[in-house]
Amino acid sequence: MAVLEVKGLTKIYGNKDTKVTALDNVSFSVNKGEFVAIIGASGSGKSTLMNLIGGIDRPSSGSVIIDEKEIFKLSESQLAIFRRRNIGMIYQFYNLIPTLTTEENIMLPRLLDNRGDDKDKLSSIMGMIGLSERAKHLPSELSGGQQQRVSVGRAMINDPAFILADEPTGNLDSRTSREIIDLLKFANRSCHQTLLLITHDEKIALQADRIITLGDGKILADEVMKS
Amino acid sequence: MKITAKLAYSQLKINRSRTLWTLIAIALSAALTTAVYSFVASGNAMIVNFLGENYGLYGKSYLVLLMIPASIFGIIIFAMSVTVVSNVFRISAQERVTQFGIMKCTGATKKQITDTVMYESVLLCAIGIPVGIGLGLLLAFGGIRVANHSLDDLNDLAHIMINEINLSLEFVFSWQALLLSASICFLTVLFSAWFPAHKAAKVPAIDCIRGANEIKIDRKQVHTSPLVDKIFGFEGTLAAKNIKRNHRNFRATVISLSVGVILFIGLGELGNQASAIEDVISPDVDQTVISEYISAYTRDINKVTGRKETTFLHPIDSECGNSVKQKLEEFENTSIFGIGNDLDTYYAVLPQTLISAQMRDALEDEEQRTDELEVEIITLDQENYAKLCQKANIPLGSTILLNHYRYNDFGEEVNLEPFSSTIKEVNLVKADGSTLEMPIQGILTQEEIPKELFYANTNPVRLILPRAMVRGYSWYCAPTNIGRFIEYSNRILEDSFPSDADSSYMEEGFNTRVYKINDYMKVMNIAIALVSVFMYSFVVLLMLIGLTNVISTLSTNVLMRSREFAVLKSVGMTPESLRRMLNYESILCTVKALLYGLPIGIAVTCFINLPIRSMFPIPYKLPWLAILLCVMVVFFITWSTTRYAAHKLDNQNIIETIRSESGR
Ligand SMILES: Nc1ncnc2c1ncn2[C@@H]1O[C@H](COP(=O)(O)OP(=O)(O)O)[C@@H](O)[C@H]1O
Ligand SMILES: [Mg+2]
Repeated sequence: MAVLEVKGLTKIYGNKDTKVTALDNVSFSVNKGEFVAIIGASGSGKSTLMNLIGGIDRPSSGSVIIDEKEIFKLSESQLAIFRRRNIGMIYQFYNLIPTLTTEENIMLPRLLDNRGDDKDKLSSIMGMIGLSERAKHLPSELSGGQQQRVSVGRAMINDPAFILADEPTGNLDSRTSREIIDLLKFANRSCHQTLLLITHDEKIALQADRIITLGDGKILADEVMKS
Repeated sequence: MKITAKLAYSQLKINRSRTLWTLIAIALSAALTTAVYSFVASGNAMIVNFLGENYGLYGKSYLVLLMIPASIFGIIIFAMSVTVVSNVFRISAQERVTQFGIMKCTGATKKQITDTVMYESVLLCAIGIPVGIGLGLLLAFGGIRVANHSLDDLNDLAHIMINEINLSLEFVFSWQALLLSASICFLTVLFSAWFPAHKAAKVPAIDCIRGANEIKIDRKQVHTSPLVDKIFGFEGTLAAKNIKRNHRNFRATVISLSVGVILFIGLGELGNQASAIEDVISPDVDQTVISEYISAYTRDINKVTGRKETTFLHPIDSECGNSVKQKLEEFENTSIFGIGNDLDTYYAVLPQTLISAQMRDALEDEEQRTDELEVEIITLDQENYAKLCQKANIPLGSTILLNHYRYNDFGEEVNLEPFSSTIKEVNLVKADGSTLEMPIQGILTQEEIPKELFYANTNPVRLILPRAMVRGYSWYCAPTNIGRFIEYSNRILEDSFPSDADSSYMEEGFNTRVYKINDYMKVMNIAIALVSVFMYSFVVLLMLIGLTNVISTLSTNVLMRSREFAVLKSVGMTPESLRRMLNYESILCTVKALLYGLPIGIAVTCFINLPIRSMFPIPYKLPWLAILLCVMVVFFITWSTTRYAAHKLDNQNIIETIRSESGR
């Protein structure tokens, strides 16, 4: 069953003179439990695609359907509520609210929903990301890798339809990167978490079930790996 | 606690110094509002007390009289608070753009983003307003005590001059006033937070994330003239670029500072003008005490001529004036100068050729007729009249014309000789049309006229008659023992003009009083001092509100750029050079504030002088001292705050700063 369907997605930046077609009629779909890596050179449109799927940007044309819902037909606040319940997003930088503790950062989507009471879920996530001891720490008191693990925890707190990660390891050294990828892979394997991982690192991409290669805003290849 | 409230709370906690300054600003504006409304409540109580029952009848108009200044003060406080508080929220929201982006990506709605900012304002109000109201009550309480001190003096003086009055302000604790100021302040703060909150919520998530803390800088914004580089060097250029880039943050600072400059210069000018007026109206005589008799009058329209006709109920004649003078002189060889006058009974018709050209211009300026001149009939005590006759070399019993006219030519005092010295007679006309040929035997010029005869509001034609029936009479003297003389004189007047203590001025038809010449000046002094104390306290408190903004903006500005400073330091900018850059920033900020403040302030002083100039011979003078003082104070404020922030920065480690900022 497809949790995500992308149909004819096109994004054009700028006006006539400075027109940039960042995404050009991209279509694909992702099934539940799949681990998809999206690769491509810098400027090939990966982040644009991710932002559109996450619903934080609007396309020039085309549609994104998540759990049979066309997200761009929702109003802005409906989309915000839909996002916090159904999509987990991870970025390279600036992922955490500096004034909230580890625990609160993880619970943020639920707190925004006024549902901050699920202690079991929280402790299982804390255990999974291995930061039970750091529950009350502020982001500034954590290392880069630990901060990124907190974002993974936050992305998973609401059992989203899928997790979107845009170069989550781009700012980390290779050992810490591996830890984060392992964590994401673990979530995918053991919790059947659908995962869309954007990266320009071939080695990381090779660990996915499927690799979509973007180039100049178009899909160049879409290959399923055998595991 | 809701997550939005929690975020607001932690934002307040993280930037403690700014939170503190904002709290002070909110508390101060609450205090000022409370104080103003408490004064209105007390003033209202005083009027009720003073006017008694009648207050009900005219109450509305007096209340309006109180409400007008109160609303003007209210609007000024509101404007200042909004400028200051909204700036705080704007900077606070701007700092958190990326944070809002993360929240949006995790699914926060617009409303939730708005709420985090609004909660911040609610939390600040929850502390700031109660503190402010307490402070305001204290202020009102203290202010009323100060006012009562002066009012007591005022009452003492007023007793002598007018009948019984007893002004006293009482501190009135009014729930309505408290509630009103609390809600006004609360709304002010909400209003100030609302725009930045909505603006922050409107930024699309994608821009928050991509913008990643970088304020978009446009080429034009950082262009500085090569002149700056020539004068101030590289540090000056950096300073100018920074002010240009952050001009919105600096705007509130510049506004606060210039408003301060405007208010101080304006207030200084008001004080100057008040003392100038005092100088002009204080009589230039060596006498110290005036005993006075004045008759009441009625005014009708004459049926035959249609002219205004004034009737004095109890006029006084020269003989009576003279006998009172003699009785008064029995007190410890005091010499008395007695003068009676009547400004209302006659007008004169003169051939135009006898009126000097200067006088015709003057009368035209004052919009008076030249074919009918108002006449003042003067009579002096016998002794002083005789002296004048001698001076003019004319026999006793002559009529003397005072050939002098003083008028205010839009700020300039002009003294002139109104009539040709060939004048031999004037034709006096009464309201009923009857005429009187008055021959003139002597003419006195400005130098020959006794000082006692120069008072305000004289008529163009002034005649000294050997004897006359006039409206009022004044006995001037300079006794050695003023207090005893006043007692003595009161007794003499009481004997000469017996009156019933219970009846009013109009019932009695006349009034007598004895007062020191400088009593009026004292009353005016007290009133001026009282008003200045209140105005200055108001302005100082208002400026403190502005100052909180100056401090938080300038220091936030320095702290926000700590990374930039670290980079500058790491490429080898010396601390001296950095300090120089910050000094230039304060100079530029000062110059900007003065550029707006000074011209407007000077315009305000001109405006204040304008109506005064048309009433008194007080020309416009540039308030140099106030201007100089303002320049120094403004520079001191910006310089010391920047220095304070820079000092905090000095303790920061370069590497620490660079890492903490990039690793966010
Ligand atoms: N806001 C924008 N305005 C104009 N062009 C943009 C904007 N965002 C991205 N682009 C352009 O769109 C293309 C794709 O960008 P992006 O999706 O960020 O690439 P990637 O993440 O693969 O490096 C690039 O050519 C980029 O210059
Ligand atoms: Mg990218």
